[in-house]
Amino acid sequence: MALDFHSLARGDALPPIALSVSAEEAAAYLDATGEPAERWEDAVPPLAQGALLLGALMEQLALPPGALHTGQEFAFLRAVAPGEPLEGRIAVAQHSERRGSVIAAFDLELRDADGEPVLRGRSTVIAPAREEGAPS
Amino acid sequence: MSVEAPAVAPVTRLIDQDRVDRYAVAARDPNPIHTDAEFAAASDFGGRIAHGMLVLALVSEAMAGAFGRRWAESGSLRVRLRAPAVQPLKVTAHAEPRGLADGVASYDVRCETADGAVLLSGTAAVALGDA
Repeated sequence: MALDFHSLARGDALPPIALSVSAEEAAAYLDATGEPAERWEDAVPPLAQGALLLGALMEQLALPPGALHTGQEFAFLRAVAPGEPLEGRIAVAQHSERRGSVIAAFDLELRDADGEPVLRGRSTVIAPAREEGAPS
Repeated sequence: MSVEAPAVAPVTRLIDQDRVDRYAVAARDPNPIHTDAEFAAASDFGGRIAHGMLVLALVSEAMAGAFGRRWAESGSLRVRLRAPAVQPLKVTAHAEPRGLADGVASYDVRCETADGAVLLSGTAAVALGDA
């Protein structure tokens, strides 16, 4: 069952996400973005890791209509090989309501098999606040 | 000794529905605002929009073009997504050097349409190491 965006609270953490970007998945990402594939023959494009971690978040979180992705930060800490097993961690860093909108920020982290971070990031989303009386 | 960050060549790309559809599959992003014409038509945007991460990918491509693997090892990005990318549209990613300090090159980055609308803007940085 998808998580309800409006029911999130600061400090909430999603269950760890097993993630691995195969060479085929990296190739599909590069084909879609149009970036030359030759550049990334022995490493996963770093933004592809972030995109797939965000995709995993979107699979678990039901965004309300009108939600907008308004901010994005990433720090790439080391190159990752295709197929390398990773674990994604996502936590709610901010969830606050102001002037009819909810601002939510999600801290993102990918760790390698040794538990060392290879990517960190933060995504910010703004969505209309839940109307009073609307079902939760 | 140079104190300027190396130049980064801009990247221009057509973002159309075919590209957005392929990106939605590749990034496993199920949000219908990007792919479902009927859903998107009823939204505030009036049509399907490209993923912000797809637009941001042009910035990452520009930085990787200049720095190669070092971008994956030490790059960073911080951007605000300023306007929805209602496609099709041609987008150019720019990275203008801000400076070089302690071996880290920093840039002002933005993605804009052919008529100058800024879709995202922010900063990027990469460690140049000993090279």
